[in-house]
Amino acid sequence: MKKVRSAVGLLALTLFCSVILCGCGDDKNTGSQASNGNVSSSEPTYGGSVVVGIQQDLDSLDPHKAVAAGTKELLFNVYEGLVKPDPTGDYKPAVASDYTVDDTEYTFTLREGITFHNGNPVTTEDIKYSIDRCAGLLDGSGKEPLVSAFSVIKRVDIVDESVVKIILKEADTELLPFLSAAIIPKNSAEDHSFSGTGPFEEVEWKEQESYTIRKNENYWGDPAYLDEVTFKVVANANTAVAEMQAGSIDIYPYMTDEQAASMDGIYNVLEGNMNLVQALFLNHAEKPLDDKRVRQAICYALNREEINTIVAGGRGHLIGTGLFSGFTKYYQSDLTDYYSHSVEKAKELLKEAGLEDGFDLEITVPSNYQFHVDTAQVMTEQLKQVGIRAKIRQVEWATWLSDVYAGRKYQSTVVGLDSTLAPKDMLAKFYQSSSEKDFVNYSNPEYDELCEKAAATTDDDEKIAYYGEMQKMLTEDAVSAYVMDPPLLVAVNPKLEGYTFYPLYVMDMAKVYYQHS
Amino acid sequence: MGRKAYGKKRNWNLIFGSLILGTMALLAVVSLWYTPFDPNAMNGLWKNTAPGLPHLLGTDHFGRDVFSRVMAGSKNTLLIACSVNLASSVIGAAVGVISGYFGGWLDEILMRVNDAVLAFPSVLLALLVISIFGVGMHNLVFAFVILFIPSYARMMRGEVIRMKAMEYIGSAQAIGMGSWRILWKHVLPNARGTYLASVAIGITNAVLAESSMSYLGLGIQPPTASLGRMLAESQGYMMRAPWSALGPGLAILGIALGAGLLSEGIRVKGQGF
Repeated sequence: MKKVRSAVGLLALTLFCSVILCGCGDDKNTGSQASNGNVSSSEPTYGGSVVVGIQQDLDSLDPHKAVAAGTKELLFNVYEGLVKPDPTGDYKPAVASDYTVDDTEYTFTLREGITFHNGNPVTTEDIKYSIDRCAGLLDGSGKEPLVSAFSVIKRVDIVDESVVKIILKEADTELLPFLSAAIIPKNSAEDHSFSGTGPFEEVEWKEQESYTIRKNENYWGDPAYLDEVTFKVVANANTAVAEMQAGSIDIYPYMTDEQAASMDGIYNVLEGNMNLVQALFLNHAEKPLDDKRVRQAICYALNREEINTIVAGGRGHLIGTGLFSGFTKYYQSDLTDYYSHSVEKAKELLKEAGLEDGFDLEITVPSNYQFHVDTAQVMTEQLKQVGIRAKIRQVEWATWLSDVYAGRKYQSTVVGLDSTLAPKDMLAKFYQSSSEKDFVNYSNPEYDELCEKAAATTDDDEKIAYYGEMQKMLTEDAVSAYVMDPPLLVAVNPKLEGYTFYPLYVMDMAKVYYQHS
Repeated sequence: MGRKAYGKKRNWNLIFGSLILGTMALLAVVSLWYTPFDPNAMNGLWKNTAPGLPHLLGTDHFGRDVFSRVMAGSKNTLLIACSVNLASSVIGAAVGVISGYFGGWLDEILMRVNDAVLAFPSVLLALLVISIFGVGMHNLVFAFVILFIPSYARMMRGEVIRMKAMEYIGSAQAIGMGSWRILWKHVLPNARGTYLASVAIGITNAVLAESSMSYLGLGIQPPTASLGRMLAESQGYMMRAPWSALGPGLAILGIALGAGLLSEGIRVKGQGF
């Protein structure tokens, strides 16, 4: 009988726990809202701390080796490169105070008086070390660059105490965004004593739990308003909602549309773009996905408008190729409707490919991303209508990174890809056959040639033309089934202001402040 | 029936237990041929609609019919619960009876292995099995069978040891009846009541175990309906669409309560003999 009782206890717990939690949270937050109602001015104040919910743990504290978008967006607050993006997507001088570009020579002037969080001044030696490390030039070989775009760098010359020259093998006008790679103290990677120059400094990292940063009092630019920010790992979006309703999380950036609606009146919900390419990525090394007709059939089978309506409340921006609209002049918006939903065409293509009875497709999804799991569920239903029997396999984020992204052991996966604002960072990084990150195993000599041409030219119009052609190729070859740039719905405690959207996947905490009360 | 009612208190546990569990089982069986809507069909225009017509229990955040999903989910959940209990109770009973009747070193070995499995926290053991063999319905059943065997073995062993001391077993042995024949003819029939009662409890436990595993995302994979998964998915919509949690919640409650009452009823009925 004891077992039954404990079992009934468990049942009661599952059923009512969240109800109770919601209940408590409600009272508390209604209170804070009432006090908020009295304050209409939003004068910034200094001080205070906030808790930000994040979807996954950090994959590395090494700013050069972190690969997960979710890690990089946090480290943005701690580390800075020679340049750094601003909210409009322009790259402004950061560690450098000024720079000039002359074909194969980038010249940077070190910002005067800038120091690391550990108190030491930044020197040109540190800059050389950081760039060399990212370019794989520490041992002089340049064979394994951490930032693949840096393979174009021939050497880094220290001119004097405040000037550094980066010499390129060939002209590359797209290098600047990559130079936002973190500047860290010389030799700090050897004993993991990383230190940055950003508006916040690292306090501690509790694995699987939280990452805490505090204000850098000696910041060279506009100082942060908040004293401390804790990024707390929340296993899934549903837990996050419960935590927000209980008031233990102040900011949560990845709400689903329906969750956002349930936060109405409790927290403010801000809307921006995630700046990701979300797609059903197809592994070309797996049968029958090596057949272009099968991939095209999948593209036709997916009804992206419906996906958008169901999982994003119609707020996502549909895409038809491997870039998102943040890339402005490079982005080919006319490819969006290349595959307009058509069950007949999909069936026809499958028949041509000899698969009129359909086939089994496994979709691997990182279980912590509710948005991608939901998308996969809708896709499963849509694929069923053309006879493709899709099955979802949920994996943990760490497993996804090792098995799918690094190991390429998967058939298809739903995920979002982030990038800096250089189109190369998307189009060459993920699809050039020689790239280590070509996890879809796309291999097309014509495409590779275009990649090289686009990288080589310094003429902007030519570049736009090449990248346009590449995007067209991605779409026509149905390299993956591109879906959308998902909406970024950020729930923010109504006492906070200043949350700023970027055309990049970053979370800038330096601009957030408590309203005057 | 009338005469019985005077002599004995009516066995309400048995009646209500069978009624509730029977209804749930009926829903589950019917779902094999008929559900009001396709349980996986989504409809963007009908997201999170309140209970009413045509969606009796409302719809979830994909616009899927909650009632149809509860039916299909009950089917999957009960299927797991029944297959787990069928397998584990047969194996467990065999181990328990053999070890209880023959005793000695065989008993020692079997029971220590049993203790070792029991000593593991149940969820941890299930997690272990699933992380080795991967997620999926078959592996889930496999994990639960291993998990459920020890309690059946323990219980049957106790029952057999109690019976062994009875005179009729002694008499049977005295007239030269073989061990297996005694087990088959005398021991097993007498352990029937206890066995059935514990299977009913086992069903409850399996339903809850499946629910908690699916709740953790390790059980049945989406979009297939399972009661636990439905609860987990509806968690974020508690305030806006409480019905999407209420449907599966009540179904779990129904199965657990029904099986619990039935078990108690069978036990009481067994004592009446």
